[in-house]
Amino acid sequence: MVRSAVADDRLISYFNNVAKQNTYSVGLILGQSLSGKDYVIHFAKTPPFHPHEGKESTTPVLRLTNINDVNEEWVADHARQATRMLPGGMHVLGIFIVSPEDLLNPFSSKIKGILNRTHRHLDSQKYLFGNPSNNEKLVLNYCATSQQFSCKSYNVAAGSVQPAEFKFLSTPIKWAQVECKYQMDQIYHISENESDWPLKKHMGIILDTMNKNLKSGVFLYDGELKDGDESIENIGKRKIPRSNKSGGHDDHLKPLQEATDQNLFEVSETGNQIRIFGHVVSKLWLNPKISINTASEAIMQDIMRSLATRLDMHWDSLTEEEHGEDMNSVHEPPRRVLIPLPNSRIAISDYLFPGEGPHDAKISLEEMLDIKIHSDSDVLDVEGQADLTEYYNEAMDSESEEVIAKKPIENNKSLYYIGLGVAFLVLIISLVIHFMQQS
Amino acid sequence: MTPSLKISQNIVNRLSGGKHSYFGKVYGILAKNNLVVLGLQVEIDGGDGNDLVNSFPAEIYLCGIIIIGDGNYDEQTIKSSLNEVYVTDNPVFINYKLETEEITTHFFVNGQLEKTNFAVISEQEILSQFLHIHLKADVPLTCEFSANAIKESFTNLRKIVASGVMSFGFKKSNLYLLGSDNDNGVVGITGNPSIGELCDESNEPSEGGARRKKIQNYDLDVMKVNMLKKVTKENGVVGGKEHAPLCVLDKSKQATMQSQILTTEIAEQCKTMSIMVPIDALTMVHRQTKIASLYGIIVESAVRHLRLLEKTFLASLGPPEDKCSQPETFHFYPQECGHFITKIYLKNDVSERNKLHQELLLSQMKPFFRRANNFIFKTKSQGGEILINPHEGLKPSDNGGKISLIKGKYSYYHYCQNKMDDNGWGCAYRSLQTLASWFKLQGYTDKDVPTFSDIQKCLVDIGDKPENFVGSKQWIGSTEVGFVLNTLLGITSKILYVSSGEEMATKGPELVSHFENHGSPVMIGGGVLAHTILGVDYNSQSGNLKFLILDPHYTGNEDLHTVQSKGWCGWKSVDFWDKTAYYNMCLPQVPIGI
Repeated sequence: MVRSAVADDRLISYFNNVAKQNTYSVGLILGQSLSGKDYVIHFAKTPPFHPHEGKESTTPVLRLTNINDVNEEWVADHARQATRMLPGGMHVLGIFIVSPEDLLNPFSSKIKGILNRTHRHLDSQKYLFGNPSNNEKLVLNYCATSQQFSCKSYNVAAGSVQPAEFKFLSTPIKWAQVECKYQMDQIYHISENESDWPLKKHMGIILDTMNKNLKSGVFLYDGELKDGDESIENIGKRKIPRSNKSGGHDDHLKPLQEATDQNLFEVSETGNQIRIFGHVVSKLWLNPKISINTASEAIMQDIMRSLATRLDMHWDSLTEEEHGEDMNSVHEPPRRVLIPLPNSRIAISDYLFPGEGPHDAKISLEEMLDIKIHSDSDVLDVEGQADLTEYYNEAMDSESEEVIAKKPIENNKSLYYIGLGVAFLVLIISLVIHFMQQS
Repeated sequence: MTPSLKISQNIVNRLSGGKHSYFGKVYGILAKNNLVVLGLQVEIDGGDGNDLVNSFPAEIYLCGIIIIGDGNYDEQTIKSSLNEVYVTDNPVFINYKLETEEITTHFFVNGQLEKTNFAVISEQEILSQFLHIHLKADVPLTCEFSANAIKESFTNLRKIVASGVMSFGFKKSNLYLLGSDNDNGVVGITGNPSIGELCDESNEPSEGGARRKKIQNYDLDVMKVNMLKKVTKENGVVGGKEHAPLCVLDKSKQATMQSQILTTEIAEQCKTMSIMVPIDALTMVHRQTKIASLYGIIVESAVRHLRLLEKTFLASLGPPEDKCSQPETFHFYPQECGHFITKIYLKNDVSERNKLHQELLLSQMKPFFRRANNFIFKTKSQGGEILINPHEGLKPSDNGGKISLIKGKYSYYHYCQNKMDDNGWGCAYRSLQTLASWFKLQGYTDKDVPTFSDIQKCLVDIGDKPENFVGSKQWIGSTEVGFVLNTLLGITSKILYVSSGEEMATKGPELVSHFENHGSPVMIGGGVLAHTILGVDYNSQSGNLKFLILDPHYTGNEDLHTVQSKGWCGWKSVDFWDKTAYYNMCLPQVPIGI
């Protein structure tokens, strides 16, 4: 079967605009892939390559004059940055190229290089879930001279090129919106021999635990337990009579049994611990035909992708000194904000550091996704910022207001939170699903 | 309305053996307007006092008091004691007169004792009306290693468990109890069936289950439940306290340690305990209880178990507060009690089993609360597991004599088990394994049932056999069985000898006496095949003797129906034994003690 991809026809104009700006352009195709079909939500051209980073203003931007001018690494990193902003279930499906000539017949080896590089780069990022489960990457070529589109599918694993079909549809693509708020309040104990590890290393392990936990979770859709093979469009439509229930679909319960053998008892000399608390807002747009299992996976990937992204950004923002900081400290990674794509309800994410506001999202959106935000109200601050003063008062269990000033040193009070680590507890994840009536 | 009162047969049995006066508490369960008194606890010096209630499955509550004595009591004292029994509206007062073995019962209604009738209820009847829910979950907990912090942590843990964030999942049925939110808080099911229906349904796939039920009426049905935590919230307005994830690194203690010279006091303060709190709780519910109403009940069972854990923990933390270990939960089902008793033992502790035996009016002759007495919950996969007590449900023998049987449980070991072809030579080994399993299941030993190579190696080690015996297919006899029991399990045995099969007919009195006093299975071997004797039916008038035989030569699957119908376990007459062969019997002598 020929691989096919669809996109709303309002996106066509984007190519005309891009073609007007430059003779050669490369960009990303963003969307969802489901059983041989790709549903495109957005195109974003790769920002011009700056050979000397940090001096953008002075160095003239390199213009592409030939497909071979494209910097593979630059595109791959753009793909990584863009993926961070996508909700779970959405991926960089491939690239588009605007060029004066046809580049797909014959298939340019440079394109293969770009795609291979991108695939590898996305794969190397833990918890980014950058590549869809197939190894296919789309290439859409817009020939500015003939104003024609042509499309191919490139299999990264096999290195083979297959023909593909690309259609712009006048009827909007249907999406189901799935959302949940994932609450965290977990304590991780740092054992004695780990106490000199940097926080980053601890957090890596914590992410692994969280991922493992999510995998053993039980997902309820609109308060219902569904068969994993059913498609999400059936949710709420009918209840399965009990007698019809087949036995064998409790895979997601198995990990618990392994876990019940866990024996842990430890007394250590230190009280070092990491507490993580707050919530992750997860909003996804999924094709209604997608199965419950795939949907659940997309939700896990969304949560993990979002957590990993903010931590990465947080680490990048720390100085060398702060990394090695070995004391009581509060880390506040950036929070997630949602920005709807133009003319769509589908929102992509950006991350804002404490103190940053909607205007701060503008720059990255324009650069990474080629989206212009017109009003601050387009940026939905869904998660909220923590009030650290309040936190300190509460957590330090102190009588006076001097706490904040003294926080890093003063600490004779016992500071043990009694939190439920969720390790080895199976989670119930409740999701609300609604189908969009997009006009 | 005052409920009608039922008293468990097991309580009546235990009372009737008594000689001493006691004051005690009774525990019961209220269902369908029946108050079923299931357990008792008498006061002894240095006893557990109030705390045994947490050792009972949830839903069994303190429901009244009992006086065992000369029949006289002070009404005022009774009334004031009953006032403390606040759980039920109608506390019960049971008076047992030692002399006449007479039980009188009263309900305490509106400040008055009202005499009431009661019915005795058998264990079978109880099991037919009630089933158990077994909750298992591991909850990680880290707290400062001190009595106060542990207390506080457990209190908090109980609060969290009871706060509604937990959900419970029935493993077999893919069904979840969510507590609040949903219509009736049950997910994965339509309608609102009772727990009994759910249990029957989930038992269905195991073939032979129905047949088994016909024979034995009701098994002790246990439904397994796990605990899950809800981690999502309904999407709504961002509340004041909600925010994106924060990460708080607390290394303060260490910072202090590095920057200052520490006194030991502060060092001790720094100790942290990390523990996987093993919630392992039982609930007893009426089969007709609706699933939707189970949520609170299961929460209560978890809370009870946490109390029990906390108590055990704190008790073990004596000064110096550094000795503590992973708690282990044991569910005991002493046959004399007819209900579960849950105890938590810490590794290496010396538990006070003695007290418990006294409090529950249990025999001091045999152990009920050793680790090895732990109740074995049936695992999910039915079939393929070694049969326990296959003689139960057999047609009774027709000899008309006194039937003396094995007491307690054993596993049926026979040819070709664990993928080993011992057909033709391993019968005595298998019989020995059955004997060893009896000692293990009765709690006399926590050693595993010896394997063939364990047995052979043991016989070489004690010099009974040459080196090349290990790995061979040589037979062993009754004396070897005795040696192995003695060496591996410390059990001595009596050997009975008969010169011919016919002579077996004369061994009635000796075997009756063995089963009455010891109740352990007997291995018989000699010139020919080896068997296990599980009991005898001795008609002292006619002199006729019948034997309940367990045959280790069975090579089939673990199928109870075949074993019983084809006579692999069944009553045999004297002509079962070979007239021309001699026989040796190995009668394991059961140690007295708890």
